[in-house]
Amino acid sequence: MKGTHLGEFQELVLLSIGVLYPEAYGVGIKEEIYAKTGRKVTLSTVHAALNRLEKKGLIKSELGEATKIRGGKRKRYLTITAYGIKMLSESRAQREQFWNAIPKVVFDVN
Amino acid sequence: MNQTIQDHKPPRIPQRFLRWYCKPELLEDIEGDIHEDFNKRYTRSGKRHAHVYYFLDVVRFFRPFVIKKLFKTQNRNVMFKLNTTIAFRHLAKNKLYSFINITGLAIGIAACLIIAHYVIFQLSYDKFHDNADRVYRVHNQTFQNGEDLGTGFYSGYALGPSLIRDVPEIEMQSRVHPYYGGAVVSKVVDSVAVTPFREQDILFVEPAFLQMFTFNFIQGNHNTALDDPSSIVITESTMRKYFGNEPNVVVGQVLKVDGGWANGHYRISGVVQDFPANSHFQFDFLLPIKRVLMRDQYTEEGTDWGWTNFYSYVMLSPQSTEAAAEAKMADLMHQYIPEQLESDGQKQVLSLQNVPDIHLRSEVTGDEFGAVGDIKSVYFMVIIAAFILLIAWINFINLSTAKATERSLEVGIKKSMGALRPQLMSQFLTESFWVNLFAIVLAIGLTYVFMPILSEALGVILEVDMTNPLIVGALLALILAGPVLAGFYPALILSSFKTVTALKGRFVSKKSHAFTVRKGLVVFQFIISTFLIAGTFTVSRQLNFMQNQDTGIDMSRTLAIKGPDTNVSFASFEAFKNNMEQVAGVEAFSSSRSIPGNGYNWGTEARRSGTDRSNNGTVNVTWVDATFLNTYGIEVIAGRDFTEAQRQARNGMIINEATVKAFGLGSPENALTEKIILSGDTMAIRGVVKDHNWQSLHKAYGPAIFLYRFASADFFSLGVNPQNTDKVIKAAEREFEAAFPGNPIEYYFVDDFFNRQYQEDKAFANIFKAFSAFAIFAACLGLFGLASYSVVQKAKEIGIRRVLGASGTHITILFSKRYLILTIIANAIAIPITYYGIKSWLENFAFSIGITAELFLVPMALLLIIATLTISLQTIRAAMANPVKNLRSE
Repeated sequence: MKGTHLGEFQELVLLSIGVLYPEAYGVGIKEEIYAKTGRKVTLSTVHAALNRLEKKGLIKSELGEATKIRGGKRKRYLTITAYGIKMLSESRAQREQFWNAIPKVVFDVN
Repeated sequence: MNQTIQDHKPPRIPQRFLRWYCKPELLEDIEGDIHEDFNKRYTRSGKRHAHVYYFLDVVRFFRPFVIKKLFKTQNRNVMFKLNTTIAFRHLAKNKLYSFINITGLAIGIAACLIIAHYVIFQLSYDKFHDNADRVYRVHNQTFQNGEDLGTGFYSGYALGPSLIRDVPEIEMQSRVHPYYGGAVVSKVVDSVAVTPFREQDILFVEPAFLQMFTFNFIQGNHNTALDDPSSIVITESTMRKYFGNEPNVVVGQVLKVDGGWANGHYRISGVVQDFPANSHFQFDFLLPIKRVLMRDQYTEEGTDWGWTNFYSYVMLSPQSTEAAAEAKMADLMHQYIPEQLESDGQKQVLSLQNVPDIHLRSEVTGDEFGAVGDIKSVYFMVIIAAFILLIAWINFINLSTAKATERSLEVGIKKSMGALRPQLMSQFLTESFWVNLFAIVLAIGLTYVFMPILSEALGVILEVDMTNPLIVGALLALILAGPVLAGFYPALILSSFKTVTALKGRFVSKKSHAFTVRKGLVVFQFIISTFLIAGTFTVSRQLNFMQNQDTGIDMSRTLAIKGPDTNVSFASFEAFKNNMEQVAGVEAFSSSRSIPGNGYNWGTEARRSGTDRSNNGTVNVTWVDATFLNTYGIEVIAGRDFTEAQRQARNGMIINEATVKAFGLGSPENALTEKIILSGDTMAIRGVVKDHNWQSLHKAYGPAIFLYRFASADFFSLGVNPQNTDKVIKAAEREFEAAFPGNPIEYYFVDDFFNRQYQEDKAFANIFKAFSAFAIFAACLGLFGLASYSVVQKAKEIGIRRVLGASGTHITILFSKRYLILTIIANAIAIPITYYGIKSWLENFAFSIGITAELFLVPMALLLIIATLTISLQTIRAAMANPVKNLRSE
């Protein structure tokens, strides 16, 4: 599985990109993660993950419009590639398999 | 929400940093994101917060995936290894060149290291005391009728206690009374005194002395050691001297001290570690000051300020300042003895000097005790060190660039294969790095070898200490900065060759600045060399002059014996005198309180009879007997010598010419009719002697007076016939032991004794010699490099000239000429600098060799000869070489 493995944080970023479609970019992803999970992550962590994902071919990017609050810099919009979608659904399927395999009795504990 | 967010200007420095390190393809996105976040934070939490986080974000992005490649080469380590290999091969190929280059640098660095040790030592004086920052010595500046007579530190015994009373800032004080003249100390075993030694370094001090300064007690109690008036504290080395190398507890043992100030038995109450050499005072014994204060001399009425045999140290309380204490004590003496000072027309201003400053920045105008340093000489040494390092580096630069000739092909090939200039530079810098590193390692070795020799020359014993933070720092700086400073220029030159011309072998264009730069550097080296050689020459000439100058005193044939320290009866003195006079070879015998080179006995005030006290001037008094002037050959120019007489007053005084002049007594003959009031006593002038150098030639003739004393036990002087010297010394040892049992004999020829005063000057001369030897060596290396460079370059020209019939001599002269011109230019520039240097140094001497042309001409000639030899070595070889060989090598 080496090379295709999706880290936990990377998966989170990938999912956020999906949520924010079609306007996912660095700061937006950061805020989305904070809003959904309460995790405070730094921009550089997000960018590092994005860099990785892009290298693996799970996402692709294109430059968007420039806004004033970005100091006139353009945004880099990120979208999930087909391969990315495949990876996400594989990951989800794996989890589902695990979920389904857990005996009912485990849930009765509580 | 977006509408409320304003755009703000982010902090500039982090922004620039980000733009510097970030990959261009990522920059826009990252900078934009950070900026957006920044603006949001600005609105939410304010400017400070936003700025801090902007900075943090920029730092957090400093990650491998964001940072662009700052260096062009792919793998630094591999290139460094490769360059190292090339450097080693090159060094191994040119063994002579490498040897000269590395040793030249190493000697320079070693000299710097040694000087650094010396400077650190000089600066460390008295810093080992825990309270060093608040212990001060009390100074007093004397003004007579408004004229500054100088600053001293001797005072009466009343000063110490009154300071404690009147200046609240002073927490402790201790008066110190040296044991003037020394004493004989012996160990008392079963009530018998054994192992007598003559001791000089004995101090009477107060118990507070042990608190103010830091003593490490090996035995005894730190707090009570000097409380008992019959206690004595000794140093560890003194303990070994008296009690052997493996002593048991010596506290409680008894020492007998015999010397005139406070004779008696003392019980050892403590043993302290010896003071380190970097202390402004040294001692072997400490005695309680109470004992010396018991003397009649100090208990009589009115002696409290009069006997200025004491000096005082004080310790200020931690919060108070020197200025505050000084303000309260400045006119203290005027509160206690106003009438006396008034009638003398004197003003005394008391001040303090911090103990660690005494060694290098003494405020005292007269003599200090012990050898005292000078901050100027420390600066001087630092400058010398800088010069030496500069010379060494210049050499390195010269030799490296000169070698460029042989490396042009290498550079050319590399360039044609696509090497970039920075790559070539890094290659040469690597080479420079290794040469510097070898040189530093060698220099550390040399430091260990030369330190003992040089520390002897410098007059201080220095231990090599490579762990001192300053030394370590200097070495690190040398390792890091040396290769760049010295290697940059050669690297620049070597890598600048044009590919094609370098391959063709025509690597140096006529317009090249390299040659001019190196010429300039050589001239600079020779300026320093000329200066140092001329300095050495002057210093040794002056030293020679001082030791051989006619002092007006016949010293070479006079043997002086230090008198016994124990009390001697007049009978034993007379017996010694009579017996010595019988010895064949003894032509004269004299006893006196002092001898030339030992200083005067008494500095006091005097004036011409018939004038008032405000005309007082200082005079120096020495007590001698009737045969003294004769024994020392001091010429009487008017009046008569002393005659044998028991009473001293009737014999009057004998003055020198300087006294006649100082008190306006007219001609020497006229002076005989005058009287002088010496410290209150009116005395007749019996004779006038020619001015003579009683002290070193640093000092001018001053008013000096001889008083008559029938017999003295301080010094015995023997006029000795040179043929019988050995016999006289043997007889003296025998008779001295017979007449003064228990006293070790100490004797010397007076000229040797007198010349001991020049020890510091000798040390200075030695330093100069060592460094100028280095400077000449280094300058010659530089010249050698330059000459060999030029000879190789002009090999063809030489060949053609030879073929066309030029003689070897002709070619040698032709090629030597231009370098000789360089040295002559250097000499011309050096003359004014040298003149100024010599002049200001000679001002230290009242009697000096004048500045003559010789002082410049001899060093210049010497330098020219050395330079010629160095150049000829290269040019002659080139001129003698087979021209065919040179012409064929294309």
